Parts: sequence; C-alpha cells; structure tokens
Amino acid sequence: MTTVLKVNNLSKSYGSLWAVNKLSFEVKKGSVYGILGPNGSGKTTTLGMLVSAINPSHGSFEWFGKQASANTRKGIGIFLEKPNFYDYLSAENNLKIVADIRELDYSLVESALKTVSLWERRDSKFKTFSLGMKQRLAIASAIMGDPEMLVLDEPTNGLDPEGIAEVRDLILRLADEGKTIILASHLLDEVQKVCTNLLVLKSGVKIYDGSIDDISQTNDQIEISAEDNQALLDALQSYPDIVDCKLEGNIIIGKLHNNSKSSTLNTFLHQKGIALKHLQVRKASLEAQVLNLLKN
Amino acid sequence: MKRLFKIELRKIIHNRIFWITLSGYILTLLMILLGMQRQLSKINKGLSEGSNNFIPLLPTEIYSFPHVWHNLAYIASFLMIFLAVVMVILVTNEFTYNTMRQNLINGMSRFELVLSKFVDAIMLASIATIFIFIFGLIAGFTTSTNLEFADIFSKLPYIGAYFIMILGFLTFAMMLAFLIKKPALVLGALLLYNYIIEPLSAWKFNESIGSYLPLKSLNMLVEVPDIALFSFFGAGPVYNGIQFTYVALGIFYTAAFFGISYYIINRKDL
Repeated sequence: MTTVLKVNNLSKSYGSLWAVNKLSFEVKKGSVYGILGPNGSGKTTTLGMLVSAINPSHGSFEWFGKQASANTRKGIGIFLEKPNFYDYLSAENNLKIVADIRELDYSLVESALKTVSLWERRDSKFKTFSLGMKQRLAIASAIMGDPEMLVLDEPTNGLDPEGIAEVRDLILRLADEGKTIILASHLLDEVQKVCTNLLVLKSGVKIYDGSIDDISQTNDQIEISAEDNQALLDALQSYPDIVDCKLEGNIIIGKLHNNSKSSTLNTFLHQKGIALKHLQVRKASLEAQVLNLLKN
Repeated sequence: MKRLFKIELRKIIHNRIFWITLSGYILTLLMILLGMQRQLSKINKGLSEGSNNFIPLLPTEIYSFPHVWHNLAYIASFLMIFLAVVMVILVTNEFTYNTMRQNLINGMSRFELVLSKFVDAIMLASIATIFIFIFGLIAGFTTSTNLEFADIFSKLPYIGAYFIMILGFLTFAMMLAFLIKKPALVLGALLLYNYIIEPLSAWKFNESIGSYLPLKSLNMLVEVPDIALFSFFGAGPVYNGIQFTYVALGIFYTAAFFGISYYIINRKDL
C-alpha cells in the first residue's frame, strides 16, 4: 500500500509546553485514520501543522512523498475545527472563492451544496446560517472536487443527532469509495464506527498507533469457570496467551491476547482434563480500551 | 495573479462596509474640491474690495491645465487616511473571519495571502487615481483657457506620483494590519504614527534623515504646489517637479512594507 502521509518526529512547543512531542506515524492510502485523545492532547495542533497553518518547532512530514506545498493542499479536502467563511457572502459565493483558491470549476459548487442539502439556501448569507448549516457548508467545501484525501477535525461538532448520523454516513461512503481519511475526534463512538486505524494522543505524545482491530483484540476479556476452579486456575498459569487471571466469585476473569482464539484454549484445557462449564469472550469496548491506555 | 484579482473582487463587490467607506472618501473629496474653487473666488473678491486697484491675490484657477494635476494630487493626498481605513478593514476582516487561516488551508501559499491583500491596495490606489484623473480632465477643460496639448498634460506625471504615494501608504497600512490584526488597534497605530511619531521625528531630524522617513518621503512625491495659494499659507520650500529620489524611495518603501508583511505572515501560526 502506498503511503499518503509520512510524519517524522513532529513537535510543537509553546514556551516550555510541548503541545505535540516527537510524533511519528504513517497513513496508508485507502485507510480511515482516526486520531483520538482528550481535549488539549494535541490533535488540532498536529492537524494544524499537517495543513501548514502552524509552523512545526521540529520534525517534518511529507504528503504523497513530497514536501508539503500550497499545491498539495489544493488536492486535500480539509475541515479544521470550525467553519470559517466570509460572514457577508452567500453560501454560493463563499464556495466560489474556495473553488478559485483550489482552482476548481464553478460547476462543482452546485453538486457540493446539494450533497449537504444546502442548495436551496445558496443565496443566503453565511451569517444567517445555523451552526449545523455552517458545519455542513464547511464539509461541502472540503469534499468539493472529490479529493482523494480528506482531513477532518471534529466534523460532527455542533450537529444534532441526525446531522451526526448524516456526516458519519458520508464519511463511510467516502471511505467505501477508497478515499483516504484522517479523522480527529474526541468522540470514541464516532471513531470506532468509521476508522480502520487509530492513533491515540495524550499530552502531545503518541500512546497507541495501530489498526483498530488490534486494539479491540489485545485486551479481550475472558470469563471462564469449571467445577474445580482452583485446578483451572493452575492450568491457566501454564497457558501462554492468557494473563491477569483472578478468581472473582465462581468465575475466573483473565485477559486473552494476540488474537488467541477461545476454541484453542478450550482444547488446551480439555487435554489437561478440565471440563469447562462456562466460557465467554468479551470484546472490550474501544472506550474501555482507550480509557485504559490514557490512564497508564 | 488573475486568480487573486478574481477572488479579491468577489469579496469586495459584496462588502457593504467597503462601499460605504469608499463613497465617504469620494464624497468628501468631491465636496472639498468643489467647495475650494468657490471659496477662493470669495476670498479674492473680499480682498479686492478692500483695495482700490484690483489685484487677485490668490489664483482662482487652481484647476487649469497643467497645474490641475499637481494641485489635485496635493489636495487629495490629505484624504489618503480614508483609503487606509478601507485597507485596514480588508486585511483585518481576514483575521476576524479566520479566513486567513482557511484560505491558506484551502491552498493559498503564505506569499499569495500577502499578495492578495497587495492586490486590494493596487485596486484601491487605482480607484483613487482614476477618480482624480477624471475629475482633473473635467475641471481642466471647463476652467482652462489654454488648451494646447503640451500644456494639458505637461504635469500629468503627478498623477503617477500620486498613485505611488497612495500605494505606498496603503501597503504601510497593510503591514500594520498584518502585524496587529485587531482593526481598532491597527487604526490607532496608524494615526499615531502618521500624525505624531513621524512628523515629530521628521522635525527632530530635519537636517539629516527627516525627509527620507517612510511616510514623509511618500508625501514628498507630491510636494506643495508652487502657486501662490499654498505658499500663501506658509508652506515650505518648493520644487517644481517630481524628484526622482522620492520616486525610487517610494517604490523601495512599498517593496519593504510588502517584504515585512510577508516576513510576519511567514513566521506566524495561523
């Protein structure tokens, strides 16, 4: 797979505070790359640097194997933080300015506005829009011209539940079309539903970077019990893929890792002469996983 | 460049504050220019009534060719500050709406961000110059008795000098706006520098660099016209022409203001 974005030791300091600290990661073509982290963890600063709005203190990054320039930005649909448009201009005129900047044809303005259901309001001034409409206009501006690459920072901020669902569907649709998407959010649910890869930041430092399936599986919780729980516990000590076993009531709870299958465990125990009366694997929620990561 | 013109034009055409301020400038200038002629005749009349022999002490024909170009440029230069206000609004708007950042993100380079605002300065300076050119033509043809071609346009270079002066002043305002960002503070700084800091420094260093300071040397492009009216009001030394030194300095300062603006924007996180 081609690397679309390569980030190398990217850092940004404000005085003595490191908002982003030696961050390195790669985004492959076609992936939906989620950036997760609590408020103030450096998500927006990172994206700000990647779109050249913020000058990095150290480090570098490459888009499509080249150093970033105004021209690379023209080919990326970017929505950062909040919708920024000229208050006194209509939706259509605002998007025409974007089209001029990105050197796109004006005919694309219509389809972009229709995608976010703002075509009927094209002549209304931006300042008359509700927060949700402003947000949708910003998304229209990002997807105009059908860019192969999208960078979205909190795209569902300020939207009502229906709007959130619409934006999520839109992202899924774009992902299905094979677009590469970087999505920053503090809403775990949102990330889990659409992302293939995950980067977790805490105080500007990377604490997890990998596929979203990996993070959900590393720490699957397993519940297990037999007639003789003590014997079971002893047997489990010699099983390599299970850790942190402890007896809670009549059930032993442990953590299964490395994509280990529960059936393998069952066979193993059967050979040891232990018959199980209960075996259940619980996919831990992403939320619990991430909270756990952030705690450590 | 054409792309930037197109973008700026779209922003300006629909900007009501821009048109209000610009019409304010044009109307004020028009009132001053039209009122001046009448006022001068009145003063002359009063003076000649006081004495037995009629000698017009002040020239009433300030709008005759070829002096009209110089006189108009000089009078209009006092209202440059209006245009600077428009300029400041156009730049600080981009910070208020956060569109400076957005336009960068969408694919403008930092150099283009500055260049697009310089395009605004060029447009404003052109409007101001075209206005006094048209006014000069009309006023000249209605008041001149001598309509030899050479006479009509012999002082036309003052219109060019006026353009450089305005463009330089607007670029200065642009630089302050990039630096300070908040419209009220930018205007405060502009007024402070234009009316207090520089005149004081120019006076203090009168012997040495006084007349080469940025705004002073821009003003020297269109010096006090060599006619009785302005020397009557105690104006200083008079040269009859545009000095090349100040044309060069004007262009140099404009380039410097542009360069500093770019330097500021290039270092800034947007």
